[in-house]
This record gives sequence, C-alpha cells and structure tokens, in this order.
Amino acid sequence: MKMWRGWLLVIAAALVVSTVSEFALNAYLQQILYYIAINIMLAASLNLVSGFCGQFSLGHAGFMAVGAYVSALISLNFQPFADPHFAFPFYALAGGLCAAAAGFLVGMPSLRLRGDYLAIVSLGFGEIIRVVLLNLEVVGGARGLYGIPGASDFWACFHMFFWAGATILLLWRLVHSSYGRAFLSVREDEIASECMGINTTRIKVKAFVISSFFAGAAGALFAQTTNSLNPASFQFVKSVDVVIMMVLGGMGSLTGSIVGAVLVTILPEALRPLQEYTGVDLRMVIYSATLIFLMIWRSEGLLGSREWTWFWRQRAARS
Amino acid sequence: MLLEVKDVSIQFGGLKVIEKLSVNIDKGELVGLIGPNGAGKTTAFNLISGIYKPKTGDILFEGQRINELKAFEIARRGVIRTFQNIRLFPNLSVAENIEVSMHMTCGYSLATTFLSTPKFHKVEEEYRERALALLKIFNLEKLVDSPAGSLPYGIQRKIEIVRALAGNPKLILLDEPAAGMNNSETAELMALIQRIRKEFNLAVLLIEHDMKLVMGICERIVVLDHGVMIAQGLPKEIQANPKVIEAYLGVEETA
Repeated sequence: MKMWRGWLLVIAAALVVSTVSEFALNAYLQQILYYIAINIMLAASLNLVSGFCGQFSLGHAGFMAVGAYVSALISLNFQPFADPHFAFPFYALAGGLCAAAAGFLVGMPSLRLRGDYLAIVSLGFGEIIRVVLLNLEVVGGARGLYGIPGASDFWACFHMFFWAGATILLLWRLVHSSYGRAFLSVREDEIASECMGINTTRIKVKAFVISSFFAGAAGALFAQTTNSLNPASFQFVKSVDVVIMMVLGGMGSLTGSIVGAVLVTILPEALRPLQEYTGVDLRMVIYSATLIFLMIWRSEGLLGSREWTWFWRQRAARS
Repeated sequence: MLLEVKDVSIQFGGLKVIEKLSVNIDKGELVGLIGPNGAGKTTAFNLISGIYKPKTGDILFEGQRINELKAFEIARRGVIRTFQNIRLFPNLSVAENIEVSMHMTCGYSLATTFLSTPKFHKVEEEYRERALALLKIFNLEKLVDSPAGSLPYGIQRKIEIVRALAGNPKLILLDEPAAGMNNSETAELMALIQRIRKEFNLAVLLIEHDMKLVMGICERIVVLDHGVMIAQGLPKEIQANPKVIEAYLGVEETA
C-alpha cells in the first residue's frame, strides 16, 4: 500500500495540472508551467546535496546541460520513437544517467575533502561544460541545436509534472530513510558522522550523483519541450537561480523547494506588465529587492527545514 | 587481547603530544585514562578512533592493525567513541541521532528505499524499536522525538553514549562522560556504565577528571603526563603512586 500511494498521488497531481493547463491556459502560461516543473526538479535535487547533505554546489546548470544535450542529440540523430510521448521517460532517464555519470566524475575527487571544495569544482565544471558546448561543432556551437522533435501538449505536460512529482517522491523517501539520516549527519557534524561508522565520502558522492541524475533528467525534459537548445541557457546565472530557489524555499525542505521554484519562476513573469506600464524594466529590481527582503525577514527560507505535510498529517520530526 | 596500543607516538610540529604510549585492553575490561590537562588523553582517543594517524607504533584491534584505517572503518570494527565537547547532530531528533549509528549495518538498499517496499518499513520499525530500547536503559525514552540540540547538557552526554552503543561496539571510548554533572548524576552515570558494560559485554576506556568516578568503577587506571605514560595499575596503587601525585600536585619545594 505504502509502495503505491505516493505514485498514485504523483499521477493524480500530474493529471490535474495538465488538465488545467490544457483547458485554462494559453501557450505562454503553459510554457511557464513547464519551467515550473523543470525548476522544481532542479531545486529539489540541489536541495539533496546542499540542504540535506550540507555540500554547497554551484554547477547545477552544468548537469542540466549534460542531460539536455544528451536527450536532444539522441532525438535528433536516432529518433528512436515515432510517438514523442513514449520518448519522454526514455530521454529523462538517458539524460539523467549521463548527468549522474558526470556527477560521479566531479564528485569523487572533490568530495573526498572536507569543506567547500565542491562549490569551486562544480562551478568550474558548469563553466567547462558550457564552453565545450559553445565550441563543439557537433552540438551546433553557439547556435545550438534546432528542431528537437519533442512535444508540448497535454501528455507532454503530464510527463513533465509526473517527473517533477517523481523527483519529490523519490527524494522524500530517500531523505526519510537511513541514507537520509546519514546525509543529515554529514551536514550536522562530519567528524562525528565518520566516527559513527558513516563512510562520509561515499555518502556525499551518493547524494551528489542522485542529485545530478535529477538535474540531468530536468535538462532532458527542458530540451524536449523547448525544441531548441543553446549554451546560453546554461550559464552560471542558471545555477545561481537554482540556488536561490532552494534557499528561498528552505534548505532541507523538499516542499520548500517546490514553493521556491514556483515563486522564482512566476515572479519575474508576473512583473512583466509593470514594465509595459512604466516603460522601464523594473522587473529585476523588484525581483532582487524581494529576495533581499525575504532573506532579511526569513533568512532560513520560507519553510526553513520544515516540510508541508498537511496531506500525510504526520509532521516530519526534523524542525 | 582486544586493543593493543604499542609504542605509539604522534607529534604536531615540534610538540610531542604522545610519546611511546603502550596500553592494552582486554575484553570486557573497564580502564580509566587520567592525567592533568594537556597530558594527551583526548589525543590518545583521536589516535585509537582513527581521527589522527600515529607517526610511529602500532594500534591493533582484535589482533589486526588499525592504524591505517579511516575513522569509519574503525567504528565498523567495533571501536566507537563519544566526544569531550559533545558532538551530537543538533538539528536531528534523538531517535535520528541514534539511528545514524545503525546505518553502518543498514538493512536495506537504495532501491528498497526508492520503492518504499514493506521491507523498508519493517527495517525502519526495527531501528526505531532498537533506539527506544537503548534509550530505555538510560530512562530517556520520553525524549525520543525531541531535537537533540535543545536538550540539557547532561542528557546530551547520555545520548551520545546511547548513540555510540547503537553501533554495536566491542570497545567504547568515553571522553569525560561525567563532565558538567553533579554528584548524584555522576553516581547514576557510574551505575549506568557498569550496567551497559555487563549487558553489552563491552570493554570501556574512559577519560575522566572526576576521581570519585574513576576510582569507583575502573578496574585499571592508566596515567598520562606530557604525553608519556607515567603509571598504570589498580586504583589503589595509582592513588599511592608518588609520580602521579607529582604530576597532579607538583613537587614540594625544598628550601
């Protein structure tokens, strides 16, 4: 029963969102909705590494890029599926696995050390990936890739939100397990954790690889809905955006990541009419002022490390 | 012989913190490690538990060399410690703190976790029951869901011992377990240490400044001063040993 309840919930939520999207939203709003799903995956997966395991990573855009380009290249060169809808899970898996492999290569050397080395190495990795993509003719260089089959209809929306929900569900199960407690213990006190028999390097790499997987899957879905890719989408600023979503929602709170992702995606778009009215682009000013205000007002993020569990009615004990 | 420390030395820069320390601990033995401040007691713990690596000498546990092993490997072999400056995981609940030590024998895989199979829930249930059973020994079962960092100091010390016990140690290293406790709390702790030692068939090595506790429960006492072992023996012998008195009180100046 417990095995399936979560999945039923995820499918139900994805169906509701895609039904609303299909009948109530225009193409512009649908696009924002897709970004929300992708950003939920990115923020929640970064939260696993940074919020739960305490390892600061600044290269999430890099892993997203790996997933996006892998899925785009497969779909452009091989077109393994006639119907793009069957392709979504396949591309998400393929992109995720490649990103996970990249995550292993980045994490293995930098997570052996205690401290903030991961932040520097992952930042470097993100930039290297971007510059490599920019200079590789096979992936279109600065022009990027065009005409990725993909889709953007009811079922595409369903797949996006199914994956976003699956990310939350799987990470939720993970952080509420023995592995999750091991992640948290590393964040709380790495030396004590090691003295209690936790192989801290291994557990950190585990968190990082799983996190990279979901970032890659998010990238793959991104590629399938945008139809075109170029390296400019994966700049350092993108990694910072994800960090903002995570911190805003609350480090160590998966439901917080959902809130953060939704807010950070909607806010700049919601402020667009203001620009038309005033004639000046105030969006970024207000956006950043809001962030500063939130950080002063609630520096631990909107949800802190608490979870919204009104559905389950069982308050997570970590507060 | 459970633990053999043979001629172990370590220095930080030019400072010889431990010099040629040799200590043996038998199965089930309760040994006290005492000495004035800065004698190198905690450093000795750090060496045995693998946080520092000895420059020279060997540390053997159950006949096997453990000097090169990492701290987590040593813990998995059955040497688990507590810390002088409490190192609980402050934002985790008491139960979670204890369950962290059980991760080394984690009864399910990542796949089981992701699938949330019945086995996962069964093992989690067992973890919780074990944590509760251990807490009951210390009469702390009511605190099972409180955040560890918010509890009083003395209770945190006890929870650290429970956390160490949860890892199934054969040898437990207690770094000043009675620090900050009053007399009645110390007496209670002494009884508890005796009890867990019998119940879990544990060897205990403890650092302590409270001489009443040390003399009351230790079968054997090792005295360190300036990194050198100056005496070793039964509590009575140690109390009468002139070298020990000198280390603690100094020599009377002769005019």
